[in-house]
This record gives sequence, structure tokens and C-alpha cells, in this order.
Amino acid sequence: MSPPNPSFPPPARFGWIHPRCFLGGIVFGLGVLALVGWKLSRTDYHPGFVRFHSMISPEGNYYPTLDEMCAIARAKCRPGQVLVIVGGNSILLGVWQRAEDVWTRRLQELLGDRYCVVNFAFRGGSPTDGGAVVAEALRREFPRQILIVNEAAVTNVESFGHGPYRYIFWQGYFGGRLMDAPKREARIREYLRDYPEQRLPILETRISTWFDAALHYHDFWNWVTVECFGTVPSYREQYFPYFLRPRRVYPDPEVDGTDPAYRDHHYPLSSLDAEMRIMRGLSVYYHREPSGRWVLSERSTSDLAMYSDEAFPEPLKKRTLVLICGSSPYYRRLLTDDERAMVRQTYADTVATWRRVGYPAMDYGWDFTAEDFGDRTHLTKLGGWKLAAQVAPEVSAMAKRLGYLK
Amino acid sequence: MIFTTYWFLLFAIAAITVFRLLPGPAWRQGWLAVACATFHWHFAGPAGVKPIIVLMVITYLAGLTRRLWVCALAMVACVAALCFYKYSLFLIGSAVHPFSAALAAALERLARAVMPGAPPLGVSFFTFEFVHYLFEVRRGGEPIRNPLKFLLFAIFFPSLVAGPIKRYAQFLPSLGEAARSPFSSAELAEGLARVGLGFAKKILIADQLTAYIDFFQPHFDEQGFLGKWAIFAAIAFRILMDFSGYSDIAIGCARILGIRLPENFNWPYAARDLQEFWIRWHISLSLWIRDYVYIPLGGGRHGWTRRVLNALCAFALCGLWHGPARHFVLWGLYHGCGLGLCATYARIPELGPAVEQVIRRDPIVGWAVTQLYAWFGWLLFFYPTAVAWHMARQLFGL
Amino acid sequence: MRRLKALLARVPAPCIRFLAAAVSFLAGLAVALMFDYLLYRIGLPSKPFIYVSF
Repeated sequence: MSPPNPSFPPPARFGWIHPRCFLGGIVFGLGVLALVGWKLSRTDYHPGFVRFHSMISPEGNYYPTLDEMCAIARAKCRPGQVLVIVGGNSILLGVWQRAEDVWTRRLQELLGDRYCVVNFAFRGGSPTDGGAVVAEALRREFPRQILIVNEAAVTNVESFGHGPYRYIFWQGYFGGRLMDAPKREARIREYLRDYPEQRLPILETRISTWFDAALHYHDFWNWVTVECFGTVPSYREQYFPYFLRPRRVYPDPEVDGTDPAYRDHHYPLSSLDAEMRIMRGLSVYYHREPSGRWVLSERSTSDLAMYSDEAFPEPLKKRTLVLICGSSPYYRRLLTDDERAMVRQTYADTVATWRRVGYPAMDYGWDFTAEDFGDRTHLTKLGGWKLAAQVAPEVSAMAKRLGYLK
Repeated sequence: MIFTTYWFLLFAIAAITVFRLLPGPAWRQGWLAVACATFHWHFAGPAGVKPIIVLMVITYLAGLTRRLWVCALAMVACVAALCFYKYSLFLIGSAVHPFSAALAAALERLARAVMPGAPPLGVSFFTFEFVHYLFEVRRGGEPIRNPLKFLLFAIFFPSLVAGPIKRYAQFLPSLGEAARSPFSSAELAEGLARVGLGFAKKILIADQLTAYIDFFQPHFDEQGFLGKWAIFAAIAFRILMDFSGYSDIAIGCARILGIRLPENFNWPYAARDLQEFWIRWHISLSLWIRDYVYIPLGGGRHGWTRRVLNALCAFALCGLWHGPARHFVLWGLYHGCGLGLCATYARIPELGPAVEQVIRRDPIVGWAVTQLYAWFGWLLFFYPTAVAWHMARQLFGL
Repeated sequence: MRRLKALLARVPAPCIRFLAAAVSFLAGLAVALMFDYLLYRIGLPSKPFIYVSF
């Protein structure tokens, strides 16, 4: 006896489909899309690019690809120019600076026509995110390149990117566009061992790189998002149909921190305690000698040296300028003399460590005024221009040292 | 959603291509078994696979004996496993906590120590398919003797995670035919069209509705009349598009392999009464509930009081099956009550015949009442009871 | 539906075949576009990523 067959409805009808034509349509469609995507991956579709502001960066659910960023650099940098790529976080992105006043524009003016400055910093990015990956991927195409990144004092840098921007590193890594870097390899292996829950997401990223290498869908749909219509919510337009507007129609939303309208936003009392805790918190890495001198603990010294050493492949260290960001005097003045000495020491030690392992490094901000800052760390255009004035000679000196300019 | 991962896409391309290229039924079925096991292992992990292997072995061996009591014991084991993995904490909280908080806390600690972090992947679907199999064998159906075929019935990858709930008497002939038949461009085209349709429902509609609901539902009270009803409709269409999209992808994947899975949705929001709604919504589940809960309880054979009670019981179980929470049970009871009312309202003196006449004369009234009833049910399904009640009142400005 | 069927019955068979082929090809293109978008979309987080704290 066989069991009864329940009365399921008849299957959905697709009898009208002519199979070969339908399959031909799929193959043809995917082929054309792949071709268009490939072409777009070599096209700069951000004319007048200044930086990845919030509507064209991951914070707005827009994920620029490595190819897209390389295409921007290619379009901006003429043969013969030294390519200066700015990576790092929101400080170098230019938060509190309008697109027309951003510090990288000033840096370009100061460096002159022999250099081409491109801002690939991201909000919350690390030195090895975004711009760093682009620079490494373009090392053969643009051998005369300088990378500028920033980091806070006594902060260890992961050699393979960070948080939401790590996908750019994986695109370069799995796409075979980065250098062989044994120390970085070891660090990735260690990471996968320590965080087994990350293995599947990374495997996913790896497979997506294979698919993307064949079909270039990421570049195609990014172009559609910028030029034609949005397909995913952003922080500004979170639901259908409002997010359908193409991203190109959104202006760079960053405001001018020197505008009196924002004066109350710079140093709000509500965040005073938190900001002071961050500054005073640096003391956990230090101990005081009987002489009163603050000394970085042995463990922190070795960690900082190890992570800095591994952050970039050996051959790329000399062309990487590391900036250690200072804090606003608004908060510094609230420290005791002793605490201020400790904070000063953290910057000196961090710069010294980066230099010791082979990078040009400098700190800034100790001679800046409260008006140069938009908050504890971000610079207004006044501070941005001072930063550009301090960085430009260093970049020129690096270019000379590296033999970029004859 | 497992289908929206790169791993799955790569896996499906490889599994289906190799399956189609292999020469004979034995090779094809062997390969399909390896592919299904890989899929199960990848997504469920060792902790999720082990209990399913145990249940699979018990079900297979019990079926081979064809003895009534062995099959019954195996069914109890399957249901007990489902209760253990999915409902332990819920049962401790609902049945033990009201009497002894200390005992409940001790039992909860014990349960958490023994259980894996999450229930084994697809344990509800495994249980329902195994119970169906054992029930039919117990009733005299032919057991599956070939272990490879039983394995394929149990862990067939397109339907492993969220159905449709298969019937082995339909699945096995379809599997045999697929293993024998040569490559068919018609099946490939039909399957790809179905998969494309499923992804379109999921990504183009359901995900957008989810974004809309997530954004507006927390501010439900602040919305105007139309805004509230728009959210209400979005909630109803989101679940339809999401779930029927998932079923389309599963059915399409199986079709590419040459295998037919049962249909799961048939325009449920076109139903003109609640019975019809349940013939069109999650069909494989409602038929399972009918065949293995409602009819064994007595169905409609012992008068209308018993019929209503049976429907209530079956739907309370149906609700609980969706998840270990009170609001799921309430949702099931809500539908059980609706079905009871649907079957008996005509008997209500004076009012019943009058309503029946209106519905017969104007079918759109029946459709509107049915859909409103079903859609209000989604509020119970998705939100805690108090929130659902509040939203329902707000819709009518109460 | 009945009218559509009656209308189609009057169209010569070769035209119907061509029409079916063309519609199928277009449907194939639509599915290709869907798959391409799917590949893009599943790489993005399903929830909007909001990181505007500073």
C-alpha cells in the first residue's frame, strides 16, 4: 500500500518559456553586464572627486570598490606627477571642513603641480584601510607614490584593515593585487585562529571576489547607484522609494567648523567627562620613574613596535608618512601639568616607535589653538590648513629622499 | 537566509553542474548525497548535524521494521528531540516557573548546559518529515529500504532549511526520474526562472518592506491613518514575499536538478474564506497539520464541537511550531478560532444566514473579511500581544 | 484571458513562435539582471550601516 498523495496545487506554469531563448537571454545578459562592469571598473565615475563623504561611503551603505578607487586615482594623477594618497580616518577625511576647504586641497596647493593629492580617508578608518590598499595595489602603476595616514597615540595598527572597511583589503588580497608580506600573512592566520567565527564571513568575501572578478557586478551596481538610481537605504534615506535618488545628487554634507552656527557643537559639556577620560586613560600604558619621567610600559612598547613594524610591507614603509594626531588645547588645558606631560610623552613615544621601525612619522597639533579644532581631535579648516602647511615640507622631503623628483 | 550567501551560490552551481554531467543514477544519487551532506555540515556545523544523524538513523531503522510500536516510539523520539532543542526553555518558563522559580532556574541552567547554543538547523522540518514518514509506514506504506535514498529524502538541500515539507511518496519517484533522465534545457530554464522570481520577491520586495517596517513601526502611533494602514499592509506583504520567495528558490533549485518539490503558496491573499486561505498559505505545512494532527484527532467526524476543538488544537500546535513563544501559540489559536467560526457561523440563528447571504451575493466582502482577519493575525505573529493589540486598536483610531 | 487567447489564436504560428522566443529572451535578460543584482546585494549588510557618531 502506498501512502496517500495530498492535494498540493499544480506547479507554477512556465510552459510559455522557450528554454533555449530564455537561457540564451541569461547568458547574454550576464555577459553584457560583466563587460559593462569591467569597463566601469576602469572608469572614474566620480568627476570632481574630493573625498568619500557620507553618501558615497560605507556609513551611507555605499561600498566603493578597490577598482573604483584606483580609477579615481588614475583619472586624477597625470603621468609624471607624484601620487600622494591620503588614508586614515575622519581627521584626514576632513570632518568639520567643507569640501571646498578640505585640508587635502590646501596640501595640493602647497605641493604644487608636480604632486597629485587624493583623499581616500574614511570615517573610523585605520591607517591600513582604504587609501593604504589603493596605494599598494597601484605600486607598480604609480611607483612614485606617497601614502599619508594617521593614528592616535599608543594605538596598535592591524596590518589588514579594520572593521567596516576591511572589505577593501580583502578585495586587494584575494584579488592578488597586494604584495607578499609574510608578517601580514602570519597576522591573518593568527586572526583566523583567534576568531574562528570570522572564518565563514571571510570565506564569503573570498568567494565574492571570485564572482566579482568574473562578473564585475560590484562596479556595475555602484555606478548605477551613483549615476542612475539608488538601490539600498542610506542613513539619510532609509526606505523605499526615497533612497532611489542617485547618490550623485547628494552634495558633500560636511559643514564648516569655523561657522559660528556650530560653535556650541565643538566642545559640548555633555561629552567633557568622556573626552577627558580618553586623554587621561593614556596613563594606563605608562608608569612613572622616581625622577618623575613618564615611561611607556615594556609590554606597550613591544606591542606598538611589533604592530607598527607589521602594518605595511617592508618595501612600502619609507613612502608611508604616519601622522600622530594631537588633541585640542580646549581639553589639554584642563589637564594637570603632570597629566599634560604624560600626554605629550605618549605622542613623542609613538612617533619615535614608528620612526624606529622604518616610517617617516610626525605628530601635530601641539601649537594649534582651540579654534583649529572642531572637537577634541577633528580639525576645522584653520587647523586643516596648518596641518597641510606642516605636512607639505615633509612630503617634499620624502619625495626627494625617495628620488621621485630630479 | 542561507540562499543569499556566496557560498550557497557557488555550491549550487557546482552541485547541480556535476549532478547533470554524471552518467548514471547511482553516480548521480551518490553525488547528490555528498553535496547535501556538505551543505548540511557547512550551515549546521557538527553540533547541528549530530542530533539529525541520530534521528535519521532511528527513523530509517524504525521504518524498516514496519512495526507499529517501533514506529510510534521513533515518532515520540523525533517529537521529543524537537521539544528538547526548540521548546525546553519555553516550557520551563511557561509550565515550571509559575510554580517554582528556583526549580525553573535550576532546570534552565541544566538545559543551557546540555543544549547547543541554537537548535539544530531545520530541526522542525526534519521532525515533520520524519513523523510523516513513520506515520505512513505505520499505516502500511512501503518503507524506504535504500539508505542512500532515505538520506536524500532527509537532507535534500533545497528543502532542508525551510521546506517545503516533502512527502516521500512524491519525492522518491521524482528523484528516481531525475537521476535517470538526461539534461533538459526546459527544466533548467524553468528552475532558473523560478529561482529568479524567488530572489526578486526576497530582495526587491521583502527586503525593501523590511527596511520600511523597521523604520516606521517604532513610530506607529505618530503615523496618520494611511501611514498606519500602509505599515499594516507592508507587514502582511513582507512575510508573503519573504517566505514565498524562499519557497520559490527551493522549488526552483530542485527543478534544475530535475526534481519536483510540492508547491507552498498559491495566491493566499486572494482567498475568500479562511479555509481557502489555509489551502493557499504554507500549503505543505497546513496539509501536514491536517493529515497528521487534525485528522488523527478526529477531524470533523464527531460533531461540530469536536471539530472546532480539533481545529483549535491543531492550530495551537501550528502556531507553536513557528517558534517557542506565547504569541505564536496565540496566533495559532486565533486562526483556529477563525476556522471554527468560518465553519459554523451559518448556524448562528438569524445572523448566520444573513451574513452567509451577503457573502454569497458579494464575494468581495468575504475576501475583505478573510484578508483583514489573516492580516491582523500577522500583528500577533510578529509582535508581543500587548503591542499587537495596541496596533490593531490604533488602526481603527481606538 | 479568454480574449487574449482568442487574439493569439488569430496570429500566424511563425509569429507566435517568434514572439515566444523574444519574450523568453527578454525574460532571460531580466533574470540575468536579477542574478547580477543579487550577487551585488548579498555582499552588502542587510541593515543600513549608520556610523555617524563623529
